[in-house]
Amino acid sequence: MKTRLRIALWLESLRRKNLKQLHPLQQLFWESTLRCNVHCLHCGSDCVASVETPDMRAEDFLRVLDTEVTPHVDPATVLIIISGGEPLMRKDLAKVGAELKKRGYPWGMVTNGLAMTEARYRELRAAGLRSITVSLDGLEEDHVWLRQHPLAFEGACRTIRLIANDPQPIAWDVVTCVNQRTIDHLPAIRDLLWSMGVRDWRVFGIDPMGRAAKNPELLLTDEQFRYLMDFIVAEREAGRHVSYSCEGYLGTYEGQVRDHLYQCAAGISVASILIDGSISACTSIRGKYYQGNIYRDSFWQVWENGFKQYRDRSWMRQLEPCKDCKAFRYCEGNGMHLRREDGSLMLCHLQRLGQK
Amino acid sequence: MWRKMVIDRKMVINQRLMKKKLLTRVNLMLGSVIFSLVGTAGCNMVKYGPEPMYGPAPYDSLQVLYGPAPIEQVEDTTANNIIAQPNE
Repeated sequence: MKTRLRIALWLESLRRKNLKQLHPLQQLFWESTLRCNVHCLHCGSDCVASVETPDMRAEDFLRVLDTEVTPHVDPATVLIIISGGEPLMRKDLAKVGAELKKRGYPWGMVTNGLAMTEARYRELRAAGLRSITVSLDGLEEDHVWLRQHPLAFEGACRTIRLIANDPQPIAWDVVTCVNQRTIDHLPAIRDLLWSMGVRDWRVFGIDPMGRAAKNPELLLTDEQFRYLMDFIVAEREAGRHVSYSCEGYLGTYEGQVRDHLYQCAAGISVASILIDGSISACTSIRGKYYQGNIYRDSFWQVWENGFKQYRDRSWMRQLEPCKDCKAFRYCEGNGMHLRREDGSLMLCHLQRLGQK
Repeated sequence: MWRKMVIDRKMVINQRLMKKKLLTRVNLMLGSVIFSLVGTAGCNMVKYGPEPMYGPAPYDSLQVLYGPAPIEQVEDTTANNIIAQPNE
């Protein structure tokens, strides 16, 4: 590893240490619905959540903002991210967005685009939508296969074009979950996205959890994962803004495949309120790692005094593969969402890259 | 005695605020140095800073979604939500 990178990683570890003390709330996810209009193959399942779980009432979330969050933050510095399920399933999405805008919070959303129309998009923009991420997981055949809906590709592309043609700039990008079927099509997918006006593309691997764990076609091999890293490096050298997702410490690829050095911000600057009121960090962190519930606890008290496992990750040192790992000071046990209920790690990116 | 307690309490609060400001400034500096070394900024504190770039969400829930259902089977459970009308 080059000396400059080593120094940068060391400085980043100092910065992260400070950040844990500060723990500024900067991104708040709201799991607004569990309803979804597609049937993704990599969809996980939670034994306590089901399609019968009603949407959280908007006034409950807004109450938490008004009474618990707003007194302690500058709303302009906290990005509210509406997620799901599929947020467009909520008919009141624009109304909620307008309420967030009225309170001074920038807000964004993640969408598969299937239910997006021009009218809906304009409504959301008028309601203060500032940031949007669209999921497109491959060329048409592969995207439809992963999303298990015949119109999924058309919907995603329609949404991408709407955003790309928006005369008023918005922060947006496209995310792609790369799998066995699409790893060899990355250049073609890139060409498609760039032809539609995309200039920010994030690629994810699929983690071995939930339904995805049982479907080997969804999971990349280690060799394919390294190829993905090299692809991103080459794209960035060619001047195209392609990034790997924020997960995973990537060793010698740090500083080359993302705009930032690795950090897991879960519980440090990122929190979420889930469908049943549970307080967590990122929406994919469930179960044992919940910190409370908005219907029982004070969100702000939990944010200030809780999240101990997230802000002090020394407990991961007791478990393999972190026990004697020299990279721990940089990766701190990898992403929290990759920790099972017993604390063991599902996936070490360094091992995948053959650097451990 | 009460006055002393109030003054002491104010000092503690001021010290905490000063520490917070100091740590924030230190982090901004660290982020700048990191950027000069490897061309990447520290996430959040530099990129999103006091004037945040309202960037895309770092996570999305794609990898772990819960309870998908065909649209035609789903009832709209939000019909009774009452939201104040937004200001014009």
